[in-house]
Formats: sequence, C-alpha cells, structure tokens
Amino acid sequence: TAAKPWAKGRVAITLTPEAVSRVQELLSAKPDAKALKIGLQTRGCNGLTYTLDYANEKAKFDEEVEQDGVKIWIDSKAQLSLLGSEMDYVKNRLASEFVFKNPNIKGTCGCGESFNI
Amino acid sequence: MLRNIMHLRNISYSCIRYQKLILTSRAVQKLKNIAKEDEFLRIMVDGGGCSGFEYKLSLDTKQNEDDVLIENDGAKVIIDKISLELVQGSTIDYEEKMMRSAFRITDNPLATKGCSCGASFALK
Repeated sequence: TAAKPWAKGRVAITLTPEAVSRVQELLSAKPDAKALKIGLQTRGCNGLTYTLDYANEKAKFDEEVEQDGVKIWIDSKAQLSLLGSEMDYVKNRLASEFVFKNPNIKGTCGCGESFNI
Repeated sequence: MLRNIMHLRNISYSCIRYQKLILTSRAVQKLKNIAKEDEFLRIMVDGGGCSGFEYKLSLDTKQNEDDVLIENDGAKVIIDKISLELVQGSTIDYEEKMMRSAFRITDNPLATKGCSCGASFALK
C-alpha cells in the first residue's frame, strides 16, 4: 500500500486511558458494533464538529486506530484535521464528554464543540 | 451588563409574570442522583458565547435574595430573577449522547438562533 503522508511514525489519534475505558463501555453496551467511528460534520458556529457513531463495517479509506483493545475508525474526511490529536474523556457531575485536543485547530467555540482549522 | 441590556430592550422585570421552567424527567432523575442534600442546580444567563448570551450551569448551595427556587419531584433548580427573564418557559433536559452527556436548556421561547451546542443564544 502507498504510504500515507502521516504514516511515518505518527499515529492518527491517541486515546487517554479515560477515553479508552469509555469507548470500551460504549462498545460493550452494543455487542454488534465492531468499532466507533469518528466523522466530521459541517456544523456549529466555528464551521466543523466531530461526530461519533457505532460502526460495523470499515469503509475503504477509514483509518483504523487500535489501542488497548478498542478500535476507532476515522472517516477519511476527518483524518487530516484530527492528525496528532488526543482524544480524552472528561467527566464532572454536570456533564461528561469526549474532548479532542487538536494541535491543528485555530479557534473553537465557547463550548468547544465546534472549531475551525 | 445584563441589566443594561434589559433596559435597552424596554423590558421591566417587575411586570412580567414568570413562567416556570420545565424539567424533563431525565433531568429530574439525573439531578437527584448527582446533587447532595443541600445542593441545587443553578442556572445563570450571562453575556458571552457566539450568539450573545450564554447559559451557565453549576451546582450551588447558596441561595441569594433575588433567586427563584423551582422544585420538581425533589429536584431543585435555582435561578436569579434577571436570568429567569431570559429563559422563562424553557425546558431543562439531561441529554445523553455518545459524544456528550450534559444538562442543557432547550426550547427557549425567547431565543432565536443558538449555537449548535446549545450553550449560547440570541434574543428574538
């Protein structure tokens, strides 16, 4: 296979232990899903937002990241913007959410859900 | 700052009858789970966010003079009168999604467009 520009030692995305255990939790709640898929959607005041869904079938250009036994598939459209990001799961009493620490981002919305590159 | 905006918009807070905030059963359930005995969910509207106003939610134990307490099946929500003007008739929900689970304020009859995350809004 042709080497992708980011294939040289750089993982598309890394998960914190908190994110791994949350993904495990989500996947064990839905045994027929093979992975979680991260996508990109045009939405929000800053242009883009990530989506997360259960997935059964890996699309041709999805990038697979496997960490501590959990599988994440990244939609081809989301790969470049996610490159080098860290996926974290932050929890407090009022909210719990996945947070992407993304080195490519120029600006985010106040809530952190939407961003531009 | 909020007080100034209210004056500019010719809203006098004394003559508006407060509609209650609506709590969904999910919000009631979650709030009862997370709040300690003397705690309540404080809702505040502040200037900020991408649409002009921003909802701020926190857990609080202190009740101030201008606060309104809304109790629903043992779940307590507290809001100051100025903020209540801006959210009256709204629904407080606890939304559970894969990406994010959180309390959010929806269906604000006074708000037009909001930020997609629902944290910020503009007045009609």
